[in-house]
Formats: sequence, structure tokens, C-alpha cells
Amino acid sequence: MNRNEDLNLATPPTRMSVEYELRESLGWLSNLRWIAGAAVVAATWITRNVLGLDIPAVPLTAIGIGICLYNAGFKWWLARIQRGSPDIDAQPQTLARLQIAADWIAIAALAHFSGGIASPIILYYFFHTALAALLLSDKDTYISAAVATLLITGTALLERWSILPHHHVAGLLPADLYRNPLYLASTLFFFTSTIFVSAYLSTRITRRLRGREAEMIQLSGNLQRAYFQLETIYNNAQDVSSTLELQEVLDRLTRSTTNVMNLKGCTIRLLRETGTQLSLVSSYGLRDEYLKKGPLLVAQNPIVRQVLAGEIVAVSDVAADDRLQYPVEAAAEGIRATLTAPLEGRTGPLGIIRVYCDKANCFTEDDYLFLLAVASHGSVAIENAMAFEAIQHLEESKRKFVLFVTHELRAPIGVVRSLLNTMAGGYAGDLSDLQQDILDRAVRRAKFLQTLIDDLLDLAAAKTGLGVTKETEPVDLRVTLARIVERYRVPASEQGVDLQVRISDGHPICVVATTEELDRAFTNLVSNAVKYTPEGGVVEITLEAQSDKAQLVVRDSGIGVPWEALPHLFEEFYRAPNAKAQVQHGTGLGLVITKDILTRYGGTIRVSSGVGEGTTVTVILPTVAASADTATSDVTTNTTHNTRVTDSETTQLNSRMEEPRGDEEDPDCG
Amino acid sequence: METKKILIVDDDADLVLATRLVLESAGYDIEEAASGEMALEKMRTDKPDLVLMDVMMANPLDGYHTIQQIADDPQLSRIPILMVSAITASVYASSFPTNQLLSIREFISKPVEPETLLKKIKRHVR
Repeated sequence: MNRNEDLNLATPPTRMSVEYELRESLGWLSNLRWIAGAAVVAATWITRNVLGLDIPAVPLTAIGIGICLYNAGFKWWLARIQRGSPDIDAQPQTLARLQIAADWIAIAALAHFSGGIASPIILYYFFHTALAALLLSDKDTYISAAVATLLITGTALLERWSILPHHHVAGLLPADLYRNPLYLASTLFFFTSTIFVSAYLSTRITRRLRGREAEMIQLSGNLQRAYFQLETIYNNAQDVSSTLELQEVLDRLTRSTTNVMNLKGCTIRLLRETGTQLSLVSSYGLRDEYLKKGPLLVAQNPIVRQVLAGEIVAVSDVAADDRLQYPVEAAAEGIRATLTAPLEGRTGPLGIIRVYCDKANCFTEDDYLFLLAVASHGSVAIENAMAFEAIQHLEESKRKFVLFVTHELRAPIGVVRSLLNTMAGGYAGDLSDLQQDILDRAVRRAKFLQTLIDDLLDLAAAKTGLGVTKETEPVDLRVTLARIVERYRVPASEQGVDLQVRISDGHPICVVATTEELDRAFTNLVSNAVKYTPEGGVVEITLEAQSDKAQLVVRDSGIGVPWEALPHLFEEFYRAPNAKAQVQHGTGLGLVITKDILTRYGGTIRVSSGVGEGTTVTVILPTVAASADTATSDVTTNTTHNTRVTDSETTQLNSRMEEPRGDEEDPDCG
Repeated sequence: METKKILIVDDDADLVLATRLVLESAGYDIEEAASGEMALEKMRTDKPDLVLMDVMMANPLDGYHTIQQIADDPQLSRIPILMVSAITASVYASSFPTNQLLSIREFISKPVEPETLLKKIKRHVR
């Protein structure tokens, strides 16, 4: 990913770190030199006054002070470099050379005044050779070794020939050692060979060190890039997955891939259902003229076939590759190289993602890995978006189906019933007993058919909320229940069943739902209880508010549910055998609808029963607080009001139909 | 006592037949209209005592829009109207204009039980 150097996370250049290190080294070298200068002055004084040796104290002290002086100068220079004055170039290198040169002269002078060739001070040169290897280039190191050799040899020879005076440290060295030609020759030979071998070893070690350092810097750069890529992939994945709109997913993929890989452009092509061609679904960075070139045909495009088989394929030079389907168009667009990765779904190839570069031989190993990563998380995002689209489509067709059924099934059965009712009611002339009987049967069957259709519609509505045209609002359960109970008073008393109702007084019990659905859910329960309770039985309905929920219990002394039927009660179309025996026609959908409605509003339903023991149904629904201005409501008023409605018990009228302004219905919860 | 006139507005001829049989047997005079436009016209010419209007008629002028036009005509808006709907009547009730001038007296869901229909009509035609 060489192109990434433009980005903020570029690799730190190697040269900079070496220079940084050199500056650091020059810093501690200067600090060390303070000690060296002071040590020269101190050692001179101690040697002369404590050890009592005869040494040239004045020149030695002067050299010590001189070292400190030029060190101060270097210090000041270094400080300027560290402040980063722009007017001086390559200064750390020059400074390093100057420092070593100055030290060379200082050591030569020290050696001269402390016994010349015989002085142990000449050993300091080795120390500086290692320093030179560390701070300077190989060449400079060898030059400095040569200079040191020259200085030593020159001093020794000049002293030997008495051109320079010899300073002898009495008591330390034999007095005429410096005149001994053998000693002179051997010392110079060993000095020279040792200093050059040291230079060689030091430079080798330093070179290896530098190599390692460069490797490390590169590795850390790679690590940083890898981290950056990971972060980018992660961010992209998040960005791409944060929407489920297919087109948006695709567009985000092409845009972010182009930007992150710092390329010319990116396209995504998806495989058509026929599997013979790929159509462009999203692109970024490319002109329409190029994109209009046409579909990629699987049969004519070897690259596409290879990619669809799961490989990543690079075209490193568009001009030199004969596998392209549109080489002219690519050249006109300024595309020089492409890299194509497969988009693979769970069940097979989805399509391809391709990136475009305006330089030949553009893609690195990193690019391959990166594009493969993009392709793999992109495929997941694309598949998710596709699945979501399919679900939306399904929901839409379901909704259409419900509406279709509503109109197309309900309307004719309604007309049939109206016509049958008219005839059975004698409005089309008198009927014989047999005709009357046949028509009554037809009326009953038609009515059952309508109930079945209504139940199916309600079932669809209950599960999904589809077909529920009204908004939910806080509904007072007490009002709803009272209305249902009033509707069943007459049938219950005709059947000889005692219908007892206990609704807790005081505050309204508000549930956020639609009145119609609550009505439907509870009607099923009350209707079942009444229907399956024989003469002389009791149906007991209790509604009470608990802290944040309402509990409705419908208990009857009816035929009960056999234990083996209990697990099936909420199955669609299921009817317990004893229920079938008691009431011939039933859809087996009532309880399912009730449960679905209650579940949708966060409620639960529980049935406990046994044959001959009656049945207890317990419903729990979450409630909301009634509005602030709620007065203690008058349930009786509501029920009386609703009694009028029960005149027309065969229709599903409720009070709302008499008063179109439905808002007034549940003043307590609104 | 003068014979009361009822206008049945419905585009379903079968349903009109059933309703007509029931109402005629109770002694009402029946007028028919198969569309909203026709209903408006007959309301003006025949001056019925009550209108039975289907909500879900084919466009352009369905029950809902016919009602709106009736509301705009002070003469017509005095005539009592019973709305008939195939869908649970209450769903429609809440979406209808609540113009005070309108005299929608009741919503009735299909299929209409003869007894119920007659009872409701008697309540509004005197």
C-alpha cells in the first residue's frame, strides 16, 4: 500500500530516526566531555601535588580547560540544531566530525605532554573509534582511525627526532623508552593494527545494529499500517452494516474502498439471476462514459470466471493484458491496473468488487488482503440487505393479501347473507316449512363462513398489526369489558348461565391498544366461557389493577378442557374434542387471535382447566397511568350507554358507531 | 299517513335487491342510486326521507366523497343518512367527517339483518 504515504499514518522515515539518535548521542558525548575536561585538570593536580610526580602541569591544565571551552561551543551549536534552525543543513553530521577532530587533537596534545608514545592516554583513541563508528559513516570511521594513527606516529617521530620536545613523567615510565626504535615500531604497529581492527569491528557491529533498527522501524510501520487497515475495515464494516438499504450498502462500500485504498475508483457488479452476466450496481470515482460500456458477460470474460470461482485476480497492466472485455474503454478512462475480488454469499457467488488504479503494477500483497477483507464483510452486508429487502417485499405482499381477502371474500359472502336473510325472513314471499328449514340451514352455514373469514383476517391482523387501521391509544379496560359483558347478558340468561362481573372501582385501568383489538381479544374469552358452560353454571369475570398491570380472570364452571388438549389450545384451528361435541361449528381461531393480540401488547394469557372442573383463563396486560385530570369514572354510565348497542347484537356495533366522535369514548384514559 | 321514501345508494345490485325487498315489505317507497353522483341527483329531485349509503362504492365518487358533497349542500345535509359498510363499522366511524351539519345517524355493518335494519330505520324516519 505504497500510496498510503499521503495519509496521516505514514511510516516515520528511517533517516529522521538516525538523525534523532545522532543528536542524542552528541548530547551525551558533550556531557561526558565535561567530565573528561574536569578529570584532566583534576588528574594533573593530583599527579603533581599528591603523587608528587613531575609532569608539565601548566600545558595539561590548559588542555583540560581547552576541552571544556570547545565543548561549550559544541553544546551551543547542538542546542541550535535541537531548536531546529532551518538555515543549517546536515549539521549533526558536521558537528560529530568536528567534535571527534577536536578530541583527536586534544588527545594528541595530552599524550604529548604526558610522555608521548609511551603515554597510556593514547588508548583513548580506541574509545573514540567506537564512537565514530556509532555516530559517523564507515568511511568517516576509517578516516578517523587513520588520522589517529597519523597523529600518534607524527608525535612519536617528531619527539624521536627531537623536533618536538619530549615531556617525561618521571617515576611512571622509563625515561628513554621513546627513543627505543623497537619499542616505537612495535607500539606503532600494534596501535595501528588494533585501531583499524577496532574500526572494522565497530563499523560491522554498527551496521548490523542499523540494519536491525531499520527492520524494526519498517516492522513498526507495517504494524501501524496493519492497524490502520484493520481500523478502516472495522469502520467500513460498521458504516456499511449500519444501513439495511441495499443501494446504500453498495454505495458506501464502493466509496469507502476507493478512499481507503487511495485508488481511482471502485465498482460492484452483481450476478444476474440467469448467471450469465454481471450488472453494475454501484460505482465510485469512474465516469458515466466508462460505466455505460455494458455488462460483463461471464462466457466472454476469463477474469470474471476466475473471480466467480473464488479467486482474487489482478490486471497489473491493462495495456498488456488480453483478458479484458473492454480494453479500449478502460484505456480511455485512464485505468492502468485493476484488482477484482469475489463477493461470495452463503449459497454461492453474489458478484464481484473491482478497484481501479491509474498506474500500472499498482497493487501490493497488502492490497490483495485488504480487498479480500472488504469483499468478505461486504458480502455479508449485501446479503443482509438483500434478505431485508426480501422480507420487506414479503410484508408488502402479505399486506396486499390481507386487503385483497378483506374486500374480495368479505363482500360476496356479505351479499349472500343479505339475500338469504331476506328470503328466510319472508320478505320475498311466504315459504313452506321445508323451504324455511333449508334456508335457515343455509343462513347458519353462510354465517359460519363469514365468521371464519373474519377470524382469518383478525388472525393476520393480530399477529402483525397489519390491517389494523387505527392508531393505538390508552383504552380503559373497565369500559371495554363492561361493554362486552353487556353484550353477553342476554345470551347468558337465555342459556341459564349466571354471569357475574367484578370490576375494581376507582381508577381507570388504561392499556395502550386499539379498542377494536381489545374488544376482540376479551370477547373471545367471554364468549367461550358462556358458550361452554351448561345451564345452571356460573361465569365469573374479575378485572383488577395491580401496580403497573391489569389482571383479568374469566372463570367458568363449564365443561372444562381435557388435560391432553391443553397444550394445543393456542394452535390454529384446534378445537378440544369435548368442545366440538358441545358446539358443532367453531373456527378454532378465537384463542389464537386473543393470544396474538395480547402478546402484541405485551400481555400474557394462562389457561388452567380439567374435564368437568370448569376453566380459568388469566390475562395480564401492562397498563399506563391514567391522565392527570382523571376523575373517578362512572362505569355504570358507560355500560348503560352501551346497552343500546346490544339491541343489534348480531352486528358488531359498539357505541362508536352511534357517535362518530370516537374520542369521547374513553375519557378516563385519553 | 304519508308513505316514507328511502334512497338506497349501493353499486351492488344484489344487495340493493335484498334491501329493497325488506324495506318494501315494511311499506316504504324505494329509490335506487348506483353511484355517488346519482345519489346526489336523486336526493335533490326525489327528496327522500332517509338515505342508506354504502361506504365502499367504486370511484370516482365513493360513499366518503359523496358525504362530503352532501355536507356542502345545506338542503341535502338535512336528510338523515345511515352508512352501510362491509368492514367493521367502527373503523369507518372514526375516519368520517364530523361536520355538525351532516346528519349521519348511524353506521351499520354488512350483512344487514332485516329486523335490525327496519328497527334502525324506524328510529330515524317519522
